[in-house]
Amino acid sequence: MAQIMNVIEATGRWVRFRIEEAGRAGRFIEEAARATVSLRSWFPNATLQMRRLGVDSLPIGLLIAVFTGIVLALLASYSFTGAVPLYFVGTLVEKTITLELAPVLTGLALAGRVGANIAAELGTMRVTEQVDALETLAYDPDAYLVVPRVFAGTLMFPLIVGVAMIVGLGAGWLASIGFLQLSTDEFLKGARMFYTAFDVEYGLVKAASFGFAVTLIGCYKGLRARGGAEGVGNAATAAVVYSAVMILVLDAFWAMTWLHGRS
Amino acid sequence: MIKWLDVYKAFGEKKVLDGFTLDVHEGEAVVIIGYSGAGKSVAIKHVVGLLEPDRGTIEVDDKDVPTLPRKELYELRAHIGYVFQFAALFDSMTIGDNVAMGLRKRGELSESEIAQRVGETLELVDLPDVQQQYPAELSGGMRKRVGIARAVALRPKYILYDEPTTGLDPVTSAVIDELMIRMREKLGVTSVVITHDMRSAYRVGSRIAMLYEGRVRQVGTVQEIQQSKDPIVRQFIEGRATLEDGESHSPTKPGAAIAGGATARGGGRV
Amino acid sequence: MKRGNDFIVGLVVIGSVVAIVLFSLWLSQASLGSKEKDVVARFTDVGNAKVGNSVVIRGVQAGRIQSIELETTGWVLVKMSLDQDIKLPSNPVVVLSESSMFGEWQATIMERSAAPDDADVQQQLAQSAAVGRGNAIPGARLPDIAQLTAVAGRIAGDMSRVADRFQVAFDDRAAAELRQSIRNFADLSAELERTVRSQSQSLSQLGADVHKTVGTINATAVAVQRTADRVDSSTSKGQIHQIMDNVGQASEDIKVTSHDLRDASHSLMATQQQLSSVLTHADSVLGKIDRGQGSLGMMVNDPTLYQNGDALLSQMRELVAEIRAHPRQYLSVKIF
Ligand SMILES: Nc1ncnc2c1ncn2[C@@H]1O[C@H](COP(=O)(O)OP(=O)(O)O)[C@@H](O)[C@H]1O
Ligand SMILES: [Mg+2]
Repeated sequence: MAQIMNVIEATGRWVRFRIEEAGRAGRFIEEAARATVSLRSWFPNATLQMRRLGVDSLPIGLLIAVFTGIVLALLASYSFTGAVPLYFVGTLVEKTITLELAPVLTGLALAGRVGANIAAELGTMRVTEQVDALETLAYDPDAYLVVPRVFAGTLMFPLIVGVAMIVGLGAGWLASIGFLQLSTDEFLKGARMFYTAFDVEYGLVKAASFGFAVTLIGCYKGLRARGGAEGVGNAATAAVVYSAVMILVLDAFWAMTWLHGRS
Repeated sequence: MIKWLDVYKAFGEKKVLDGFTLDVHEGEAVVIIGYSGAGKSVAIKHVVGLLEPDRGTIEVDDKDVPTLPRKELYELRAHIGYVFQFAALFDSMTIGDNVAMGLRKRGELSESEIAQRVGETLELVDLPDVQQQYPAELSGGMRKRVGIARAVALRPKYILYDEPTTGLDPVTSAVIDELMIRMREKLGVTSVVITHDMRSAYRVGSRIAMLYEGRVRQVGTVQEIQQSKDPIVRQFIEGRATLEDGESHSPTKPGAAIAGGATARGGGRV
Repeated sequence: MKRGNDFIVGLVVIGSVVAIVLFSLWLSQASLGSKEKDVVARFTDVGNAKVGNSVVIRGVQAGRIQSIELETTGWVLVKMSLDQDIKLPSNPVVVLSESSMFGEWQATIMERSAAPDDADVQQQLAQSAAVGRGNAIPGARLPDIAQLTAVAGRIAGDMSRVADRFQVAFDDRAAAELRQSIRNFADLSAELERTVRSQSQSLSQLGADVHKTVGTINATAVAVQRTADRVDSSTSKGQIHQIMDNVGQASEDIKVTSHDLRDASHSLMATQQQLSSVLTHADSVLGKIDRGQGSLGMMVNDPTLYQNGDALLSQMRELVAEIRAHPRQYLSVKIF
């Protein structure tokens, strides 16, 4: 009996914590949104964040794209043995890179890099009272710390992913020429046969939503860090895990609401 | 005028402030003494709205801080300098930028005026040549002085010092004490100083308040405190391990260890 | 330091935006530099044509379909953007058709007189032209592969009817009827050939394959007809022997045909049923002959025919079995 009561109580506590957490996150987003209005207070910081979160993330994004492109080309030719014309390798590489792999793989890699970076940095600032210090100097931490990062993430993720698309397709093309004896014309024929601008558009919008989510989660977890080095570590871990899950959830969301139902 | 009236604050189960009441008048320097973990930092964080009380009011210039709308709160903060216990310097910025932060936000001075003010202020804390360095390159004592410079640079009406001399060598401590006295006498700054260092307390304070078990145990002029009959106050100011009557006293934290040195940055709250 | 950041970020932002835009344009083969002009055509039906499909003039890619809009009047307006310096034929029409076996369509702009000589196409063009004042070009769509398959299916059905007639004919009672039905067969193959010809203007590769196949069927039909003519006047055994040789030749041809068909068509899948029924009939004819029924039962004695016929049958059975076993190889690849 007592055990059952304990379970019920634990469940209730868990639900309450979740709801409180959701409420805090909601208020956090609301405050960040409000802080966005005072452009002057955060915009000067945006380029620094764009550099750190965006430009510096380019190499890892491109590295992933190169390998993805190569693997896709080989994978496609393996699956197509015999019946399907080989130029479909181009189609498969183009579709999968632009629609799915460039945004999601890059997003996951950046969830680690950017999410952890933000959470650790803001977490350290929180536990060493730098955030408090900002407030006493009359800075709004949301405007000064959160908004430039979220802005930079939302803007730079699509750019990285866009470049990753180009590089991924290029790698797939080189792999097709090198390993599959496919000609450039054939590869391009395949890539172009079913290409629509929507492919790129969809991938980029997805990437922007990932950038938004990853940076916002990183900021939220970082600013809520408690208790020294361990707290900062926990914040960074939580930021990466939540970001990765959020990316997959958003991926499914876009597929269901936008991709689904288009012919 | 800063005024705590019957302030209660608990973190979870742990009661920190339990009916804290204290007035700080214009031009005064009130020293708050008390054991580590007694809630001194918590008390002054309420003044700038970094913490909100569970109950009670905190007034600065007759404005009730917890209920102040955002904009007015930021305006108020611009008039209060806060010196953090562990300096809390922005480690991604140079010392010069750290000190200039508040001035830039206020936007009254031009860049060259700001540069001049930053130079003067760093001179004031005896750190003339560190402008281009980063906080990580400085010693704990130097960081602490930069923290003071950052608060002072704004020429605020109030300055709250959280253990400004803890962990500093005696000579630097004396320099800081001098600085605090000068700020009050020359610029008419009203200050609240948290310290464990009784010598410094006697030198700087116009009044001394002892925080004990969440409320003010005794408040009075330096002389009144020095002649206090209260055994707990006596034990603290004389720095003995036991109460006068020989009965062992257990403070909030046994041994009342002096909270982390200036090098304990990042260690969270003590 | 700060200045450096601004510069690098600016560089990367501008660089990648330009790269992404160019990449997208390049993949969709939109031309950047040269100016474009729009041409609008009016259709009753656009089949599977989509925005972005190629526009072809005399076999050369000249632009893309830019938009497809349904008008309230029931017509479909297709806007195509063409390179500025492209010259349209003096009396242009637009024909939509399939350009690959995978469902990709294209729009071909051609001279009115060059339009496929197909009643349906001609009617579509005439109707469209009748409404079309203004600057909309008349348009028509060719049947897609699925429809072509249906035609093939019909012809296969006809072939099975012909096989029925063979059965009757070899019963020695209706040589005249045999001749008639073989003539029908010839007509049918001619019809098939015509259909495919009209398609093949746009169905380049596939067209050529089917075309060849149909040509072979045609030749076979002629051979069979020649045989039938001989049947008409034949009574002597020697002549019959000659006839059998011819029939043997004809079945050899059909064998080749079946090979070609296998290479050419995924559409065979759809006609599989008809094929089976042809085989059943052919089977029963051969069975009859085997049992020596009818005055031509003597053909049994002719080993060439028997072997050829048998080989043909097993060949076709193999083909059907293979299609059944590996349907995917003959299915179009629509997974993308
Ligand atoms: N943000 C906080 N969350 C939870 N506990 C806190 C927080 N800030 C202070 N405390 C607790 O309140 C007590 C008083 O802390 P503090 O005011 O820093 O002591 P001190 O008098 O040494 O400055 C400590 O026990 C500390 O653990
Ligand atoms: Mg403290």
